[in-house]
Amino acid sequence: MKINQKIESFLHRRGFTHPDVRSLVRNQLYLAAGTCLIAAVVSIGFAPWALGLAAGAVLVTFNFWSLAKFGQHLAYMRKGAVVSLLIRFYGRLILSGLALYGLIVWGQCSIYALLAGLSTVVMNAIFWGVAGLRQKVKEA
Amino acid sequence: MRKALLIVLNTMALVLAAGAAFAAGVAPEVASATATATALGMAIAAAGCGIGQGLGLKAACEGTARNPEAGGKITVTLILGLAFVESLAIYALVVNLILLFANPLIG
Repeated sequence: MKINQKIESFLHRRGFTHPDVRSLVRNQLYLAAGTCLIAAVVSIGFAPWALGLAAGAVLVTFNFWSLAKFGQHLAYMRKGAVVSLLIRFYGRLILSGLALYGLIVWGQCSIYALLAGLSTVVMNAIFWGVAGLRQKVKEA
Repeated sequence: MRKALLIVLNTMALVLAAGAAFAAGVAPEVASATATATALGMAIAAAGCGIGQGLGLKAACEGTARNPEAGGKITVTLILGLAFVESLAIYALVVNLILLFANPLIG
């Protein structure tokens, strides 16, 4: 599809050199965009649950973007892989904590919607696993 | 051992002070217990997730060193594993924030 190619070339320019990682990040972008669209359409205007759903999806997409961009070079690093992984993990966790604090305390957004938005990355991974399994079954 | 004991005591003191600080209209013992539970919960979650990520990365590095041609598949699996672990840490963070600032069990 043309839009897939466009997004993948955009991701390639952004440093996602591994093709499988690129399609994972592309799927996550689709999921986040779809979630935001659903939140905007169903809530018709502003609702706390819509804010939570969209913000959760966007937050976890940023997290996944950063993880995937760094993770594609991780297994090939010769020195300091674990330390840099842990520093980035805790850095992301602190930033996510600040964002979630703002959303829960100041934004008063719905917790269930926020958790649903945060679960998009898990859904993405499950879809990826199921797609791989289906391909294996077809090949066999 | 002495250092660890000092750290634990320090954390307890900080947590109890924080509990007393944010106890507005809540019984002090409930507030301090909530603060202690939150601190312990987040510490355990973050430490567990950090250890899990480190172990996953170790295994991926070993696998890539043994069989460099499988590096691509290993990388994707590693990223998915790391994303799962990280989402667990984020869930723990959300639960702890709920306990602290939007606790449904306290008024």
